[in-house]
Amino acid sequence: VKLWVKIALAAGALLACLGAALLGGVYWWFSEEESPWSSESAEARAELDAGYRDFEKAYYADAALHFERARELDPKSAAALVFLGFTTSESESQRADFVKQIDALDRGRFTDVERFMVRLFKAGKQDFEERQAAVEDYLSRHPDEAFARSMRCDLLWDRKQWDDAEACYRALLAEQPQWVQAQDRLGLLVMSRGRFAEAEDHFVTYRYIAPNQAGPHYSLGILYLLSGRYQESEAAFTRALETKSDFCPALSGLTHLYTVWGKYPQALEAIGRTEAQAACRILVQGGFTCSRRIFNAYLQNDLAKAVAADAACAPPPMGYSLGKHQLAVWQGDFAKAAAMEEAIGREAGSDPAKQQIPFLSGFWHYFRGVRLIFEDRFGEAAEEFKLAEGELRYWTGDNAILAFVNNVHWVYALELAGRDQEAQALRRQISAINPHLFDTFKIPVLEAKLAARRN
Amino acid sequence: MKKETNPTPLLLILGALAFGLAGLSITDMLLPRPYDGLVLEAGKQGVGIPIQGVVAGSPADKAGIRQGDLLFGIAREPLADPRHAARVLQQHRIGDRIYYLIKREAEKPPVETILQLERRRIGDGPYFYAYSLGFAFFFVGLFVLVRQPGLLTSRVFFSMSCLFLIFLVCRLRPPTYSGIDSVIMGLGTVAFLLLAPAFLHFYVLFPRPAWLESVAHKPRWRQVVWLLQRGWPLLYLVPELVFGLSWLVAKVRGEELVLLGGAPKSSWWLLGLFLLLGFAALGANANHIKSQRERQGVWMVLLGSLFGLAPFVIASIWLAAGEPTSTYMLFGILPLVLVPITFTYAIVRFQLLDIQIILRRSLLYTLTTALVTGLYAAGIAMFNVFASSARSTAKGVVPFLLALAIVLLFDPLRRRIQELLDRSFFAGRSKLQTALTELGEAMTAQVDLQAVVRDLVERLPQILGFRFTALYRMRGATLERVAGPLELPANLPLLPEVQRQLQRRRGLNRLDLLGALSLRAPEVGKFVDLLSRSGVEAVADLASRRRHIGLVLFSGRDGQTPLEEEELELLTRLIDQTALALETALLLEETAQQAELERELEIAATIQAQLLPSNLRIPSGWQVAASCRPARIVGGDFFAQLPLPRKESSALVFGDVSGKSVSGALMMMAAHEVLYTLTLAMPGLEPAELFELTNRRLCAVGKRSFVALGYLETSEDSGKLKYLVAGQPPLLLRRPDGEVSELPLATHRLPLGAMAKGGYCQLEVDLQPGELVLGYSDGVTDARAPSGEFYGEARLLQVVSHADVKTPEELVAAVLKSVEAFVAGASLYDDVTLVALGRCSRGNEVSA
Repeated sequence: VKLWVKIALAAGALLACLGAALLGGVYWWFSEEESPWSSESAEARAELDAGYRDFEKAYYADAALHFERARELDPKSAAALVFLGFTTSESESQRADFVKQIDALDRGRFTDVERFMVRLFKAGKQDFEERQAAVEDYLSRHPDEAFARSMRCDLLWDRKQWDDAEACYRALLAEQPQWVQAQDRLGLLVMSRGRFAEAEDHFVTYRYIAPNQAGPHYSLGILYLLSGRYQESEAAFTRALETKSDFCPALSGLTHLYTVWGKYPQALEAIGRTEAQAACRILVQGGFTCSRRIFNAYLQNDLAKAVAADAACAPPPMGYSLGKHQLAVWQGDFAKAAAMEEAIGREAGSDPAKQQIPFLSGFWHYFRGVRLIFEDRFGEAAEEFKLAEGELRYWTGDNAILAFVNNVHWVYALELAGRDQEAQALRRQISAINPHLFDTFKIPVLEAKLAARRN
Repeated sequence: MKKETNPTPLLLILGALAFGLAGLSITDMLLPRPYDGLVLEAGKQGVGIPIQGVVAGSPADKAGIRQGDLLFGIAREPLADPRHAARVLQQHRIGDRIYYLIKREAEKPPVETILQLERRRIGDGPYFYAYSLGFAFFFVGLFVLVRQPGLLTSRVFFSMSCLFLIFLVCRLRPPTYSGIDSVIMGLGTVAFLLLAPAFLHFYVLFPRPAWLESVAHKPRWRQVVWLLQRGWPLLYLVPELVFGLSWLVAKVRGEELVLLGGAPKSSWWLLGLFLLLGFAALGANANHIKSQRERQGVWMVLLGSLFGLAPFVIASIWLAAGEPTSTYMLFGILPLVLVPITFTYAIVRFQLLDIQIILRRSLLYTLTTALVTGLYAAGIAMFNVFASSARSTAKGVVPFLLALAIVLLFDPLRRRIQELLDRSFFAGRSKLQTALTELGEAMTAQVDLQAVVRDLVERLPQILGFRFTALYRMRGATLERVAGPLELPANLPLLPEVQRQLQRRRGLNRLDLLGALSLRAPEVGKFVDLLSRSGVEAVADLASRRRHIGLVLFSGRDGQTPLEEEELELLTRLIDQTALALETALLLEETAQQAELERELEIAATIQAQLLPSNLRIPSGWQVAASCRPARIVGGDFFAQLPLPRKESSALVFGDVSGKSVSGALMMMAAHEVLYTLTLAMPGLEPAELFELTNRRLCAVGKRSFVALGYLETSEDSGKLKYLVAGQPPLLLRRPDGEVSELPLATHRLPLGAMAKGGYCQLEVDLQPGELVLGYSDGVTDARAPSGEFYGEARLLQVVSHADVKTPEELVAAVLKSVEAFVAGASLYDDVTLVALGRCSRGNEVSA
């Protein structure tokens, strides 16, 4: 075959490839991306997209509004119902109601994403096996879906498989570093394991990716708070609230910051701002603000103010709250305190120590520790605080502050029990994380007990 | 036979692709795209991409980003790998201010930095230097390929140049973040991987595989020689294999494959190893090359490669990972310039790869043309000024006249200036060329062989500075030294491989080039060694259209100055002229020898004629006549009268010797003398005995020569004729009434000298008065008419029968007349001899 024939053939093949590539490009350019939602209404789908974006940012109140509008536009939208369920159901009965509505829908219309979300929602938080099966089933068809992969990591977190959870988040971020929820979760996880610098990298990256979201500023605020970088923490929470003024976690964070910092009036002001925000309704109703007011008075050793605050509070929906329990032991009503501990136990199951949801068992040990220290059973109290520390350190969000409160109580318990060396060691350990904590965060009632013991 | 394919077009296509790829790479960098000036570590994946370099003055440099920092994100997007960075950057425009997330210290969080994107630059000084180097090397390779497309070494060199170009332009460039960035960089890596075996391949072959040839026939090197001659594709696969294995090992170990300049460290070690082997091969070639000039060139290339490439490899392994890019470019890339420079210098100065170039003249001619063009441009400007001030009617004519003047005068003017420059700047060269031209003309006009040889071996070395030249002439299957130093061998073998090679490549052939033939024919190696030891450096074939004349051997030149292209052409022409002059001289010599031979033959003919008796003695009562006419100047026929002791008897012999001309004449002389001497020395011998003895003697002379002989003996007052015929035609008897018959013949009548065994027998016949006996040689019957017809026996019998003759003399004359008439003036085919006898009343003598 002559050379020119070969060249002509090669040129022809090249032109054919170019032509094919051009056609492919044109098709790709003009082809529409398939929507993950089954709704036939474009407006409903737009609302779902907007709601999902807010959901990713943890703007659950805003997300709920979008999902509500989507449901109004398309009552048969499974996605709208599921996400409403995720963002608004506060109790098991509410969740059951959503499940009933979802079951009434035509499952044949569901998209794959919707089927997955429905299965997850119906499984609830406690059915790990079903959640796991749903996630793996979905990932077998969509192995690169970041949301599902993130779910898989969250499951490991919930199962307290911390190493596996960390590895899972890392693998996800190596391929999809823009998945901010994983950045935030991994940051919290490594922070709770004492790797604050690493956690800061993740939170800063989160902030870099989404500077207009309140989430990263809030997480950084928590990290700075725990590290004793109070000014930076204050700035971060403020920035979060500038980004979204009704961002309840940031208001909550500010409350904690000022409490730990010893700025009790500012703490009360932050509590007031929280109560003023409609978006924080669930928080207020859950007894958060009430508890903080009581705790604020407790730290100032003003029992009358604490009693007044308690009187202004509605009864907590679960029958217990941090503030009420604190007030009970402060007033010496140990039976009432023990009743609240029992309530936690009921919620957590027959054996709260084996409770898989971390904060409940942590709470239980903490409550018991506080009661025991006021009953002057300091050694037992110290053991409870020690057990609580193991659970509370893995809490997410502002509940991590409770770990510090627990630890401070633990130090007091050890000192009151006369185990000074252990107390000093623990104090050094805490000061290594937050060098200013013991300068500003003192509990007058326990200080008095300590002084009495020394004398 | 397998048809040999020409790979040059394919190589040129590959070269065009390499050039196009390099051009694409540079074009890609020149396109107005946003640029931050960061050089990221390719292949790195995970959180935080290490920054390998920061281009000075770039936006990243202005923002304070430094090498070693970790890049976490661009434009609010966290990065997974450098390609991701490229995609993000492509979404922005020049002038955009975008946030980068950079982490510097491990214990501190990443910080956000604003960069204002700028237009891409082709890179700073070192990168520009690297591109220039790549193109310089490419053009040197292209030049070598175009000048020596048939040489494997030049083809490998060109391939190596292409790979070098791709590596320098595509692999070392800063990333452009364009869509083709990774493709270009990837091809740069492929080029780098192939570069290692290409270097080794080239160094083994450069400037010719002298070392390989020297070990080709040693059994212990057989595998190495096979690998280096046939197994090259395997060597080219080794780097890819090493790369793959490195990747596999890293994967098995769960480690990340660390890449330096796109390749793992193992690839760089391999490059270093291949280079070391290449340097060793180059050094071995230098040792095995006989020409001092070439050796110098090879050593220069070796040094250039050593000092150019070694820092590149070392710096790549030890500096690229940790040192700033500028340091790597300074110590690694800067010395690379030595490679193309030394190659170019060696090619120009020492004519490596048999490449001659003329730089000075071309350069000067270009300047001349530019000068003349400038003059014309000035002229045009002046005319325009003139035309603009002239009358409007002249305005249209002036440009036309101007264009005409340019067409007519430009080239003559340029030639004039060029000649002037030649005389001014290249007088030496010009004189040399003139001398060569004159020598060629003088040799062509020369007819004296010795003078031509003198010009060749004395004047030519003086003119061109050769230490000697020598001429060898063909003598049968060998070449014999005709002129030249006595140190040279007196004879050389004539080898067909050498002859074919010299005939293929006219003009001067370097001896080393012939050495390459030793792989096919080992005797060529010995031939080359023999000449090389005598100081011969080049050989030229001398051949005319008619024949192969011989060889001219040339020594090296004093000062080792290479001959320029024009001088080589003149020398080739001169060798052709020498061949022509030698052919002319040889022809003249041969003509003179022929003339001399003919003269000698004439003398021999005279001597031969004088041997024939002018007077034949015959007893009374008998008449005799004889005639002998040679077909050539000298002949093989004869007749003679033998000296019988009895005066009353007479014996005549007439002979016909096999062979003609000189050989026939010599045999005739021998036969004549043997017969005469035996008759004289042994009186009383019977004719049969005489024939027996003569036969034995002639048999001893040579097996392939023999003599047909007739014997006729008469006695006084007797009618008896004693006769003996050996190999001659039968004797004819003519009676007075015209009847003709053949006399009886003996059984054994083989010519003398044909067979050692004898058995001759004489016969007798009584002749009556008036009867004639005719003896003749076969030249009579074999005479040919111009039509090709033979005279033949029938015609002879008819002439003898019908001729009105009474005496032997008349009979001989009649037959001769008839034969002459038959051949019609043409030369006789064979000698013609006639002897006739007859009875008469009284004795008579006749002249032959």
